Amino acid sequence: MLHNSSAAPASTFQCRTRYLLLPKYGHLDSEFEDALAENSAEGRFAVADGATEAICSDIWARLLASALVKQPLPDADEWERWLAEQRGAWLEAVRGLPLDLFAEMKLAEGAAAAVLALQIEPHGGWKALSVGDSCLFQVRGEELVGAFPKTSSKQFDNRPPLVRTAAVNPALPNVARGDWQSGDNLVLMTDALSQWFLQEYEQSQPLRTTLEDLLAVAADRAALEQKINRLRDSALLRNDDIVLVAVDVWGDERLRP
Amino acid sequence: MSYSAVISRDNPVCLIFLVDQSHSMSQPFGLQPQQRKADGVADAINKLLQTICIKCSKQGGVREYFQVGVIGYGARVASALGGALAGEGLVSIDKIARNPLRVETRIKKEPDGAGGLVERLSKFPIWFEPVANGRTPMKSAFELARGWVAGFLKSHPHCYPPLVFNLTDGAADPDQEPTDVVAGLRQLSSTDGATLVLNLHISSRKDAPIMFPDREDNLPDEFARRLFRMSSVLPESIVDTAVSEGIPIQHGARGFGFNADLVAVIQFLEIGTRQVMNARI
Repeated sequence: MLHNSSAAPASTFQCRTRYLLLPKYGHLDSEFEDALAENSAEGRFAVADGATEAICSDIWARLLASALVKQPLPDADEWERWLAEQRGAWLEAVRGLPLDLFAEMKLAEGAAAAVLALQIEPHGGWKALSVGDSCLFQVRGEELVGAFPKTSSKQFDNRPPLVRTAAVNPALPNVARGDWQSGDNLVLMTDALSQWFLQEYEQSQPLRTTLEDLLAVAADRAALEQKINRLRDSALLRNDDIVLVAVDVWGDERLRP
Repeated sequence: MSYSAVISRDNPVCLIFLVDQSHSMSQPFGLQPQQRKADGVADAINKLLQTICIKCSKQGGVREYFQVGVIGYGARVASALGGALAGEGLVSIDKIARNPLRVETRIKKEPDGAGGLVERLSKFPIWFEPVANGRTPMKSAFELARGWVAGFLKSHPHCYPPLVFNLTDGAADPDQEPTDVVAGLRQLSSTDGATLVLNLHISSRKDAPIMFPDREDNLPDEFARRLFRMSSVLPESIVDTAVSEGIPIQHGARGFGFNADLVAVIQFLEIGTRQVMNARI
């Protein structure tokens, strides 16, 4: 985290969720390997980024994101057991898929995904769990008051830790906690968009405005593609699948954004 | 920055292998006397093609991220892919994946997790058969490759630059000295950089391999020095990728190996293709 809020916590919360997603340039929607899931009633949100270099990672990403919002986030001592359940579900999901020789060979190597989950807690706190380079940003007004697990655009590389279907040297999740204030925007993004967003922060751009500009075209596919592809063409944004989940949270109805 | 173009179906990578099929390739490697050089090279190329097919494989099939050509030079100079691919020049990797000559079942030794090895059966597709017959028409082989590269660059002007590997166990025929043709080939460029030519000399001797040298003074003879000069300086991105994986290569190193044994053949192909194989596609 960049720093934690010290304001008095709210006792209850409401939230509004907006999201956008877009496959990498030159790819079909059916080839999209990122995933998102939400359980607004419980204040849980998740994104997952299926590893491109593996196969059936899209299935793994969707499965992990869904599982992360279904129940309270697993604690460190529950992680292995929780993961074993998800691995079983993945094996079940890929069994019987019509795959050719090379897909079968690749499947033997297993799938992988980065995950990020957020739990908004009723008394003004939040908890996040991460494996990999999808990021949570806490935006207040135009300011970034928290970023997890990456805090700089320079921290991204091609080898993030991933949650793998193969049970070899499993990466353990990082956990962060913080407090939210009414009107805060808690935003989950997969890696390419996270890196770009941190660049915007490093260049002192007004972050709420930046976010709203993006979300304004979320429902208009042509406009979204135009905006994102312009960033990609100018090398500001890596060509990758993108997912953004923006959660506006407030504890007092009068402060509803 | 050069040698950094994004690889996609619209912007695939061109990989060409020139394989010496002269009579001397029927002799064994110096350090692996049970293995004929022609067989070892065929296995290495078939294995690499399999690895590329796996890399490009997704639920919907193999995606066309690579175009691959294999040129054999010996009694004749021609595409060395067989079966349904016979006579074709550059072939998209999805088509290669669909058209192996056959799929063999081989025994593979793998770590058993307890310090030992366990034997497993594994499928091994064959696209390229070993041949050892005739002379060494290396210039003609490079001329054919030059034509393929020129055609590819015309259709893909912004691609990651083509990679051309030449695997040979001896000097070219006297009238087949390829230096000028290779110089022309290395000048063919995309907006991302010039075509890379990597030469590997395969040996029947037991001398230690010299891999990716950055200077020619320590090379044993004029033949080795000529092959060194015919080889591209490896771009920093390839050197950095290799160094990050613990392979000691100096900046300024050439895509060149001398006195390669079977292990060095595999390593040479792996290092030369590592950057494109590591790309997130």
